[in-house]
Amino acid sequence: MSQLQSELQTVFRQVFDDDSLVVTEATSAADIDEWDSMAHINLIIAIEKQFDVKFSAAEIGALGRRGQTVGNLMQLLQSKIG
Amino acid sequence: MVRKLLRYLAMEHNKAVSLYRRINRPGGKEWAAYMRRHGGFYHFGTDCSMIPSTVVVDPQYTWIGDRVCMGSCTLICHDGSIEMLNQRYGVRIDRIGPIVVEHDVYIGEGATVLGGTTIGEGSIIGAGAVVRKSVPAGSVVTGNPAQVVAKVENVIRFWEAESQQYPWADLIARRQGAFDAAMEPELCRRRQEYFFRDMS
Repeated sequence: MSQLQSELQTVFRQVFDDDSLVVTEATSAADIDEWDSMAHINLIIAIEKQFDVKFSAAEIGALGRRGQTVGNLMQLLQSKIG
Repeated sequence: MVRKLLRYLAMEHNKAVSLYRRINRPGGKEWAAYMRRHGGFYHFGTDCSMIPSTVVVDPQYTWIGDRVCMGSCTLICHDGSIEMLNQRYGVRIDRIGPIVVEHDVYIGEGATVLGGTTIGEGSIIGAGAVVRKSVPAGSVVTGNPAQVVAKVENVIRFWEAESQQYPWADLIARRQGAFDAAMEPELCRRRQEYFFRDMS
């Protein structure tokens, strides 16, 4: 597991209050019961804080689309933190 | 003509109200204006919106701020169980508390707000939530018991961003307020096309 993925998993575990949560690139909202539209907002905000990045309106819109995975999120994050 | 008269009688004299409700079917803004004058509230602010099916059991102990929007929700200040308790157990219990809905609050469909609670300014009470303790300003709450699930400032950022992604974003950019009758047919057509694009 990459450093990024591991850090991301820590954020997921905090937001969803579940220390046993394992996230992979394929994980999507369909895999986590509590990942609804409100949790999604809290998750993205927590990621912004953790990685000290700010997502644009277009990026937020894209992340909210159906079928988005942790892989997509990691790619976006990678492009922002370099 | 009849509607004008019914509206006049209801608004100015609090008369023929059930007829006015049935015939005129007042919208949220108009019904709030009626309730502000005749609803018996301890306080009812200006520019509110309240669907006529909203149930406020104890308006005399209910304080409503300005620009509050209410879906078909229920506000109850008293605990009805004391009727049974006092009768069966021979006790003399009183259980009642005020409801304060601060300015710019939205209360969703089917939500219930119980006495002894204050809903802080600018909050959103989600559909079906049961508010049993006070809600901090600027919060989104859902569920039973209602829990804070997000901050309104964050929700705004996300919902605005998502709105800009819709195929009808250009119409929303031009729309004043939350509803424009003239725009509605085109808006509805585009939404249907998008929502059901995968259905055969």
